[in-house]
Amino acid sequence: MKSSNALMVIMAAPIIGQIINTTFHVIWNHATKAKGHLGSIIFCFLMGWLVQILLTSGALFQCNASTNDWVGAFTLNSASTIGFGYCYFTFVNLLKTSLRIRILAEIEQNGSQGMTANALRRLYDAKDVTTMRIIRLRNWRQVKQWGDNLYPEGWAFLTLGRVLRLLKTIMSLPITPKILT
Amino acid sequence: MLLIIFGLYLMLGILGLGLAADWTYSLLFVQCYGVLALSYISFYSLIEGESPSLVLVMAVYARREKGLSLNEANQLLASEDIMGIRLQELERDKLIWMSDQGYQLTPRGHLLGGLFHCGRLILHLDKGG
Repeated sequence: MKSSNALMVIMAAPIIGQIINTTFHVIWNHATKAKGHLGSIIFCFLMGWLVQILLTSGALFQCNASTNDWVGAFTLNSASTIGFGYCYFTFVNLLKTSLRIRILAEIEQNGSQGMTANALRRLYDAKDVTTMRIIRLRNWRQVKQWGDNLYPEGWAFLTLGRVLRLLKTIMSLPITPKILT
Repeated sequence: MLLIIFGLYLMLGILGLGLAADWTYSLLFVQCYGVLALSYISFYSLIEGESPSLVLVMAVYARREKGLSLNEANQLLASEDIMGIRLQELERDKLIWMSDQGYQLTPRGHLLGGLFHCGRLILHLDKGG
């Protein structure tokens, strides 16, 4: 691969793909009520990936790239696009679910007065934590509720939980005993 | 610590690629490496911490057809002082500090809080948590 212009396009493709992903997601969030929904994140990520593939393919066609160049460019750019997408998903997920980010927002809103631990607890007690999470898990079809009972439904969070537990074991990190019961 | 490890490897990689190939190739690899390193760092924080949502899903699955009652779900998370643990973690990471009036944000806390506040405004999201 000799054209430096083509190389620059290949390099910029994952960044442009991520810009498309974010732009679509921002428009989606402003236009619909399903804000930060898992499906919207996946849909916008796929749009960004498609743009990245088109840009990379166009640049490779233009400079008559060899098979090795095609394999190398697609491997690197796919890894970058998935990495960008994962970082973006983590950012959105933190905004929606992180208690630590919520605490920072509450303290910041209170300004120089600060906030005591009890005031924070009153504002957001453990029951709220559970209720909000159950609603989200139901919306994401990971659990279903019949009456007062919750039952397993989806496989995505369960698989993630199992993978994380395995990684914790490999990395010798403590596992909360309650989860094992 | 993770940032330092990844930073050192990045420097070595750039040096190696800079000597072996064209600099534009180095940029391509730097971009890929940087994004994957960031992904790993954010993934590691997921492994290190205990997500209440995952705790719930695992507990529901452990009961299978018997189901987990809402009371049990509340007890499961209420028995842990989630707020207390999170406040300790924020203090440990120097994002908040305890003043006479209560918890205040450190400059680092202001920076991170501001970043997420901007994200919330752009994405039109509520406070979450």
